[in-house]
Amino acid sequence: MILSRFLKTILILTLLLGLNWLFKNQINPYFTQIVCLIGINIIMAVSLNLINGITGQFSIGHAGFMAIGAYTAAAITVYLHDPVLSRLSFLPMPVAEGLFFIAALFAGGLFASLAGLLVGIPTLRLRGDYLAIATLGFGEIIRVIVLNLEFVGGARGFGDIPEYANFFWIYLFVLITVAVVANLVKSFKGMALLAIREDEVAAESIGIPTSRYKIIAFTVGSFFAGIGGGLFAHLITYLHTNSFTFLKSIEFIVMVVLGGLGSITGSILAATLLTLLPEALRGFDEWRMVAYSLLLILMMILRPQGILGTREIGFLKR
Amino acid sequence: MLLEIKNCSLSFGGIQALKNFSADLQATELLGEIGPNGAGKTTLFNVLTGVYQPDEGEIRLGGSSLLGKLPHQINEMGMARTFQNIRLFKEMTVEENVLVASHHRIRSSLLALTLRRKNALREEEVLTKQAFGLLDMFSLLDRRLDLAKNLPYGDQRKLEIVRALVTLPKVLLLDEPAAGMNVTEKKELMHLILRIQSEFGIAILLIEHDMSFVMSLCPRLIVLDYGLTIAEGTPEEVRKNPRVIEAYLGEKVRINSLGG
Repeated sequence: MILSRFLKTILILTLLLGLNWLFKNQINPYFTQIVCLIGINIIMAVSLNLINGITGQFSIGHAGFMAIGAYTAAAITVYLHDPVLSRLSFLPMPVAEGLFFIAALFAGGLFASLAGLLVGIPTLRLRGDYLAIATLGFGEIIRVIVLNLEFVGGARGFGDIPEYANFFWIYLFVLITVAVVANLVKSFKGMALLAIREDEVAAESIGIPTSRYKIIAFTVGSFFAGIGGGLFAHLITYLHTNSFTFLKSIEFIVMVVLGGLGSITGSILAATLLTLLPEALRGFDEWRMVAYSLLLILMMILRPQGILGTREIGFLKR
Repeated sequence: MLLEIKNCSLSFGGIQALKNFSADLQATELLGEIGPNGAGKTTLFNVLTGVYQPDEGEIRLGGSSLLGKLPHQINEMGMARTFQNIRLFKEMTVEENVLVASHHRIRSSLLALTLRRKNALREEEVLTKQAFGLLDMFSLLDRRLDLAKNLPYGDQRKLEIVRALVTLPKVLLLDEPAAGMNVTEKKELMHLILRIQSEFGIAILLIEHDMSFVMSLCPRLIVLDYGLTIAEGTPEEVRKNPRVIEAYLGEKVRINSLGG
């Protein structure tokens, strides 16, 4: 049965709306929150995988891109809420708010991708460890800048963010992120990213402009990280720069490495597992970081390629 | 004259890898490059493909200068190569290794390809057919879903050549393509190279250590030693050249062979 693209889209949207209603009305809110966090972490892990796993670039400042997306989107919805929505009063409220939210998310993603561009261009020539240090530095710079911006709360944090994010929005963007990254890598031009990871010299010799593609990986990856950040802001409704430290970047790296560098389905699996793990360890908060570190060490020793290595499973199988 | 190399010099610190090197290659010509280890043969390839920029000299492909161009630009201009140590994309399949090389021939943008637009998909289809045709010619088609790292050695060398051909070069640089092959494989390779030359109308510059291979295949040879051309000519002429004998076997042998 071959469904047209349009029909498929309608089906998916209906399914998402249905599940959204289910989670909002029938399932206990604690569990719903977890499911939503899983979705956000999937977006973060898949977007990081594009840079680290698929293109083989060593980026460890992903939380910085998330922060930019979060604070940009939140600043827009908090400060521009009344002026924008009063102008859209001819639309029913949910529609107007929905459009407003999408616009805010995209602005967050856009700014994050601009940052990705800014980070990507000068760091191109850097290899391995040096690129890692540069991205680490970037992540910290972002955090400290935001910490000193009074209009987004500074050290007190940024609160009263409208709770626009729900199962529907989050998983809509999960699907978009996964679809875009998967289609990108599957395409003949997108395969260049894998080639760059495998052997940059050989990639250049067959006409691939490696610098340009590394920048593309950074820009697309950071765009979706920004989206993830925006969704995060509107789920938790309160932002503090303590949520975007280097440790946060490491959490995403653990997800990508655990799932398998280069495997999108691996990132999805690992993001799910590692979001559930802290909840399972809820009584043992201090042990969380120990657990994370131990997990990373064990993975590197026993199975460095992660759960799925570079393979995909299910519908993404090559 | 398709490829002109004029007075190219390149040093790495104190070591002169190429010294005033000049050579010419006609369209569809098959030229063999030989010389003892460390003579500068692979360095020449690296200079031609833009991996290194020469300190002096000029290189022209079809009249356009290659100086200052990046390797991917030089490939777009029509020069492709294989590597001495085989640089395949190991974790990618045979098919993917070849398809990714059609990169600069795709008109559709990355965006169009990501959105799976009809025109983009059609282009991919056409390029896939062409790539499969090439794989078939090299007897690699039934292994197309295997990972490149799992191919037997001889097939890996062949795959690298196919990958280079997909970029539709005017000049193909082959760096020791017969290395590690047995007699049968070498015979097959010789036929394939001649086929490439005639069917694709490509000029080929070939580095090889196997003397019988390169001398039965190439109608003209250049011999390098210490970054210089020390001889040029037909296999017959080169084989008898005293400087060549000296370079490979040492002065004593040259003197002995002259009966002195």
